[in-house]
Amino acid sequence: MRDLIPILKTLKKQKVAPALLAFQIAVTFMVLVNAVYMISERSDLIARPVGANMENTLIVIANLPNEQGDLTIQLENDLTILKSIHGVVNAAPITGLPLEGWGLYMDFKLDPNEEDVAYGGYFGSNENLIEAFDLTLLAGENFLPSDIQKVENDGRFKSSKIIITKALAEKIYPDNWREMLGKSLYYHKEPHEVIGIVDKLQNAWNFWSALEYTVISAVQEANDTQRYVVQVEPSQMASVIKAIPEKLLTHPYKQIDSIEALSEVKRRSYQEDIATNKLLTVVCICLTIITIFGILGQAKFNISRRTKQIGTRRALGASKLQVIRYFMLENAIISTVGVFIGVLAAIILNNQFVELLSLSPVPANFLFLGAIAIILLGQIAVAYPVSQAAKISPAITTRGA
Amino acid sequence: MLKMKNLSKAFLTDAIKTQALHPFDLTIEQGEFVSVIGPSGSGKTTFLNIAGLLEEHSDGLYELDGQDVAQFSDKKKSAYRNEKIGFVFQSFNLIPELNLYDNIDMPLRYRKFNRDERHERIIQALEQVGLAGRKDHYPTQLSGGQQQRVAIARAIAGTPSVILADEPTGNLDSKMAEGIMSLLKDINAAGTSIIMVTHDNEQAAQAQRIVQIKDGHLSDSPNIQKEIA
Amino acid sequence: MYSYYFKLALLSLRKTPLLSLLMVTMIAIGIGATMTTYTVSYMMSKDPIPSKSAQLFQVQLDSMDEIYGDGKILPYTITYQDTQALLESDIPKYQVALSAIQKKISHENNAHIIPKSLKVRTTTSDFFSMFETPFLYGSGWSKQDGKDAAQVAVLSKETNNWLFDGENSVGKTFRFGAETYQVIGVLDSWNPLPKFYGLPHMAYTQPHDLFIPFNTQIKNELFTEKLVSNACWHESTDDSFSAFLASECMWIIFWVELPDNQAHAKEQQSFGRFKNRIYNKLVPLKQYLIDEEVVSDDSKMAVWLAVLFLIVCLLNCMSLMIAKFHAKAGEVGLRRAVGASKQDIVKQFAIELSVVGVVGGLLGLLFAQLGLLAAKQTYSYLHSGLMQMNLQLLIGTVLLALISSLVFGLYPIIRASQMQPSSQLKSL
Repeated sequence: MRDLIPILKTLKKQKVAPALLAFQIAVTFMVLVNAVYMISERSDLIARPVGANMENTLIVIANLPNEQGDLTIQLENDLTILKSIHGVVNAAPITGLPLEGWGLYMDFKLDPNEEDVAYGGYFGSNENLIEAFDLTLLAGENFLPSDIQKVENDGRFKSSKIIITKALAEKIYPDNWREMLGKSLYYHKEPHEVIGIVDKLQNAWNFWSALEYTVISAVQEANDTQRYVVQVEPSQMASVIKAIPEKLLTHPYKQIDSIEALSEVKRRSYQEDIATNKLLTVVCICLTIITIFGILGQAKFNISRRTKQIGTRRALGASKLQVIRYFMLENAIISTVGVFIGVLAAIILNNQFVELLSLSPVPANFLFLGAIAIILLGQIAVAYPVSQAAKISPAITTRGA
Repeated sequence: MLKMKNLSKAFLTDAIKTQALHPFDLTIEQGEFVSVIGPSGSGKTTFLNIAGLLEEHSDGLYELDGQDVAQFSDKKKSAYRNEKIGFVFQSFNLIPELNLYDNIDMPLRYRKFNRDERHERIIQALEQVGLAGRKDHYPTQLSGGQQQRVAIARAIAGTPSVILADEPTGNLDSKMAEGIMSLLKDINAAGTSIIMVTHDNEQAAQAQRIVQIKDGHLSDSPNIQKEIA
Repeated sequence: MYSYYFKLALLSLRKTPLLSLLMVTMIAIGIGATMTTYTVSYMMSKDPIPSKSAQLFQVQLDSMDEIYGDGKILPYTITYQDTQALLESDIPKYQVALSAIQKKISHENNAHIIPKSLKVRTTTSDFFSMFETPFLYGSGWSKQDGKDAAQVAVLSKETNNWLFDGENSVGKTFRFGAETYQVIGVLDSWNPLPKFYGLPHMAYTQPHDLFIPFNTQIKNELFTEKLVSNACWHESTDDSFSAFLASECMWIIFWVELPDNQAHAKEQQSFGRFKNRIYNKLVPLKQYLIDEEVVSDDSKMAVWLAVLFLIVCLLNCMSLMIAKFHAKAGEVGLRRAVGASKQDIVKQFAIELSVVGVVGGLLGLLFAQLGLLAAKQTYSYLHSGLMQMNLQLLIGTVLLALISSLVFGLYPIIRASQMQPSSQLKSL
């Protein structure tokens, strides 16, 4: 510690180079903290569970060619075939997909003459959907086959029974979500009785505030382009994927648009976020490397400039350890000053990002951990040149450089 | 040519004043060969720096070629150093990555000479110092004495009025030193003034006139040659 | 004099190869990162049709009962009824209605060509003149063809390559679902960026594979829910297509090109013929892109980060420069002694830094190209045309490197020129 005052005095005299380094550390800190925070926020966002069983749910999109006759009959046919495939637990039709980015949404009322109480996404299906997605029914019961209405193209204007997500129930009855059971929810001016509540099911838009507010209606729609949800037994995915085209493509006009795991749909939904995270990670790594090299280079230059001084110190009795300690301390002081400026700068940058990108502000512990990390980083970077400095022979003072 | 009246130099660091040169008078005419002699730390280098417009004097008057240098801007000082003054240093101060031709060329580049004129001057200067054939060699390929010759060639290539030499033979053995001194005398004979700083009495004696500096006090002595003559 | 300084610069850089390499590399990395992100962002927000973007407007009508969103912007689709009414106006120079469907396309006879389900742009005849699409063969359909709901199509270059092996297929027929359509034109390569006329969230995807008249879609009752943004605020009276057309469903995008006259455009702000419309709007192209947030926030953020990254790199360089010039103190002293003025020193080092800057810029250009290549991979869902530099960006890259090197080198250079010559000379 007795090195502290002399170090400060030296820094005061030779302000420029240390100030430059401190400033560099500040900017690096500012960027790293914000970038790492954004990466973690985004990762959290992506990690949110869809509500369905991601590993074993398959999505099949096929057509129901008009040439083949009644759409509903074709639909039921397809479902029978799918369910018969070895390895398939259950299959259900659906009007849209979670995280597809396209779908149906509506406003909900408790009373047709009053204000909206919520809005959310819509899926129309039958009694097999819960098993097809492997959803968790928390309260109430599933549809009965007799509850299902069968239409062709556009069933959302029908009055029907519905199953909703817990999040939606909580939105409407914050104190006790179970109250929603048995009550009717109005949309498109029609009443829909809530007979069951599932734990989770995300709807189509991952950026939406109402992502978790979903309604499943007991209205089975047959569309020209039909989506099926298929729940597969664990480890049977490959064989099922192979079997589906073989079994389904029975008619010349029958086409399968795609067969993919639900996890693939999710990945596509977040592709921009995933890409941005990759970009941020690259930036962080490059920045760290450059800063390490910068600190290293400048430390080396600094020390070679003061070779004679170091030699003199050693000649006057300083031990190698004391020389090392001196320079490590000097570096720590510069890093601390840099970090201090950096914290202020990071907060300012973060404010900009909060405004620009509607992020949430960086929490204090992030800044604190980041500060510790940067100071440590600086110490590690400077370790090698400093250890070299300690090896400078005291004989340099008499011999000359 | 060079007139100093009541000139002095003091350094001020942290409120401590060090008098490097106490006020003195000195006049040097064109064509004189003057030695400035004194022990280390006496102020010789400071004197030479002031004479060569490398440093500013604190007090008094310094007239070069009849003009008060205190009025000179940095640009004018540079121009004077370039055209009227030639420097020769103790450690030669050649640029190692340039060959001899380019080393001598360097000060000429700061003047408005065209390529042919520069070429002529460089070749002439090299011939005068006896190194004409080695213009493409590099300083590292030369002995100490040869390097100093190149430095002298660089100093005279611009045909200055005065050459300021700071311990020109300090890093040379006696044989090389002799060669350098005779070269300087030749140059002086051709009309160029020379002010040479040295701590070697023998060398100093080779000049026409000796100025002594001790503890910042400058004492002029009359022209020895004239005296002897 | 400058060629002399250039020679000195090269010598000086050669003398400390590692240091010079470090400086150049650092500048190059910073520039590379900045220009990669800036290129993507720049291309995303470029004016897609500068020759007439000031004359293109999207028509938006307020036909709902409630306020749309936050009340500041209107929905970008309109109803079929409104479309019909608008198409009858003769005020705009050009006007187009736009929608899209998906259809299985196949060759009539050639069984080797496997049928593909393609995206079809349905639009009116003005589309091709209004958006200045380049034609390889043939042309668009006439107004009469549109009125007649003719079964004609304009193919994209890629579709023509696939279906007809790239030859002049004008007049030839192909299977459109179960129907037969005739090729009336083939487009040349066309990739407007952003693709402003379609759905906003598809602004960076390729144009659709072929184009047919809007009326043809209507007459044949074709509709693909997934390719449009359809907002129905009331249920149709029944399930029929005609009921759908008569309904309050908004699914058509409408653009107009107004003649040069500015005052005229302002006049159009109130389309008097729509009695029950309280509020309608002509949104100019540039404003539309901003309203619909076509340029993602992420790309803007990426540019910010890259610039900060560049600053860190340049600060590093600055320290390296200070170190380098410190080592040159002796030479500076010598030059000053033999008559270089401070400005001469500044000029010399400025040239040296310029060389570093330009080399760094060229290397940075290489890094940027690599970066854009990587970006193409990562952002594979975006248009690859986004990840290319035009001439201005290329030149801009090197200029940026040069200018930033000089700006950051200013302090070290001036410091070097201020050095007292006398203090350096003993220790050369």
